[in-house]
Amino acid sequence: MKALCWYGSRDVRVENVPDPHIINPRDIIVRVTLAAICGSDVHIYDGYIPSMERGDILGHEFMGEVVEIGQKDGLQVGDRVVVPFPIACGRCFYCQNHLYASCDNSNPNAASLEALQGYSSAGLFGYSHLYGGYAGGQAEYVRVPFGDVGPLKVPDGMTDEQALFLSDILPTGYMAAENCDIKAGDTVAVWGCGPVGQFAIRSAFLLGAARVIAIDRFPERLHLARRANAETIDYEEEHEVVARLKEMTGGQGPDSCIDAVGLEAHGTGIGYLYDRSKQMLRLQMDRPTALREIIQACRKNGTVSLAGVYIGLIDKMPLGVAFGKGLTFKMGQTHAHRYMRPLLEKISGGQIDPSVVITHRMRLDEAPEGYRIFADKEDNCIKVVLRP
Amino acid sequence: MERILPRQNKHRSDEARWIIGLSGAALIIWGWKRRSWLGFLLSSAGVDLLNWSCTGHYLHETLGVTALTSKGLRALVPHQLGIRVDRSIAISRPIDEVYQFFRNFKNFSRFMTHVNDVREIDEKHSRWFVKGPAGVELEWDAEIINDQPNEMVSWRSIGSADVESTGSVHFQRAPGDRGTFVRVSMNYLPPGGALGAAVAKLLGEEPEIQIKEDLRRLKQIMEAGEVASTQGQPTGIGHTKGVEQRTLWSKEKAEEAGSVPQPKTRAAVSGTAS
Repeated sequence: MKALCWYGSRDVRVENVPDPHIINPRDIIVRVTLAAICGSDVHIYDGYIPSMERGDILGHEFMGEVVEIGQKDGLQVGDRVVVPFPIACGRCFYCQNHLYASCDNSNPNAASLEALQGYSSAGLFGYSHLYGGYAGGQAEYVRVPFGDVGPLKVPDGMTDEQALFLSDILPTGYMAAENCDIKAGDTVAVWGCGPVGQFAIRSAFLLGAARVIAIDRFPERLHLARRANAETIDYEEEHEVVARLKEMTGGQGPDSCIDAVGLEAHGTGIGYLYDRSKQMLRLQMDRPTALREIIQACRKNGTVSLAGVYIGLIDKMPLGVAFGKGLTFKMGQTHAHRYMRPLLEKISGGQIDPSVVITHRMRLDEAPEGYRIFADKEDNCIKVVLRP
Repeated sequence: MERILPRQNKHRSDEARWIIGLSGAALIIWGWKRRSWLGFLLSSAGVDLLNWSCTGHYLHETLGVTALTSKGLRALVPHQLGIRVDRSIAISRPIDEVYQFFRNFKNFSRFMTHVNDVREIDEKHSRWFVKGPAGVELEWDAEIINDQPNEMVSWRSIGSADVESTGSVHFQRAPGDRGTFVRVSMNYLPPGGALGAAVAKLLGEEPEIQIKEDLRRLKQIMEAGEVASTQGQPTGIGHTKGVEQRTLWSKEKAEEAGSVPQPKTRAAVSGTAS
């Protein structure tokens, strides 16, 4: 089959590789009909993610048709399914409490992650060997472990483009908004208007926010935010984002603030990853700016919700301000499974249309070009989908 | 992991230990410089002195020769001798199910990757075949010395074992209906004493890590019904990943073996979003 493989920093190629097969009883094999490139894939592309190996197949946002089933599990061959990006067993303590991204039993390399960070998390598709080293879904076929837990059947009337983002970014944006505990009349500010930010904006309105203020610098992203009725701040024009937010909220500040930017600096094994860390400092230099702004802008006793990924250490966090204001912090990897069905219903009901973020439709063969355009934010690129 | 041998020279003053240790170091350097047989002997004596000053043992003791010479005379790891490993893990299954699974010798090779085979001799006795460091197969007989259903099992090696060990597994009901805590405590004398243990550590075959990973696999089998793996999956380098090309699972094998009964789960149907 054809698959997009990683060979090094800014070096991804579509190669012919063997087809996947059933390895464990609860596995299924899916013929991929649509996959996407995620913002977090770009960090692999740029070489920031440790424990990648040459030849690794990328992709954690994908959907397709079930072609093989290990143990009979409720799905049928031929079912059209969308697959959540964390791999979860469904039976450990965390899964039973719907905290799927913390699954204890799905990461074959849990020991390495534990040695580095002191804890391990669920395996992820196509996201480095610390997160299990599972082959990803930017391919013609993919093996999906625990086929009885994650994959969700997509109803006939729904297009692939509408359903695809149930795999990651729609639940991620939704969880970010849900974590804000929105009350009637609330103002929610969203830093970052990439695909996750876009879904956070739309979810905040769905959950009852009166106003959403979106912050970014790319005109096309701000435009897309305005289409969802958000007010926008272009932080390149408006240098005092905090002051502007206060002014817009009667001096109070937003009731809750969502960080859809993050650090994406995976890996904290300081000794082992020393060289990588130095590279990552370049990210740390500007990205905690969003988080610092959030702490300064959020109203007293407001909620800060982090959807962007943070892993490393951060300097000079105004924790005293956060304490003084009595802020609530909510964060973490998305427990995608628990949002998939409710969000599928919202898509069916026309309350949200995830396909609005798609700007580029390409064939799997063109994936390397897709990565380049997306990474360089060329051609007003917001989201690339790939059809094998 | 604790030290192999407890320090025996605690009653000596630190000054004496320092003087003897430094003399040992001087002998090592002086002997080394001579580059002759006499020099070699002087260096060896220096090593012994330095070792004594640090551990209170003579060199042959530290290297585990005591353990080898006295093999067969002892059934248990002597008090304060050997390596002790303690590990525990929470398993979200009822205590009787975990105990029953553990009490069946046939299940051991499913989650202990270094165990080649365990043959049941009778209710209390079993023969173990285990992968040792550097591909050597080690074997020994084990005897269950205490078995309290749903509470604990303890064992010891008997006869002339390649690895003398004694240990216990305790089962404890986790609070609030959260399954079972399994706690393994083990004492063993590694083949080759301290040197053997150090080599095993270098080769990544340290029992402490093995036990930790064995428990992780036990949890995976009990909870998920399978051990997470990517062995044999495709990659863009050469052919498929993993040198060993073997099918880990097939419908035929599964029917033969009869797996742990598992509840049906469908997670995506749950939801907090409204």
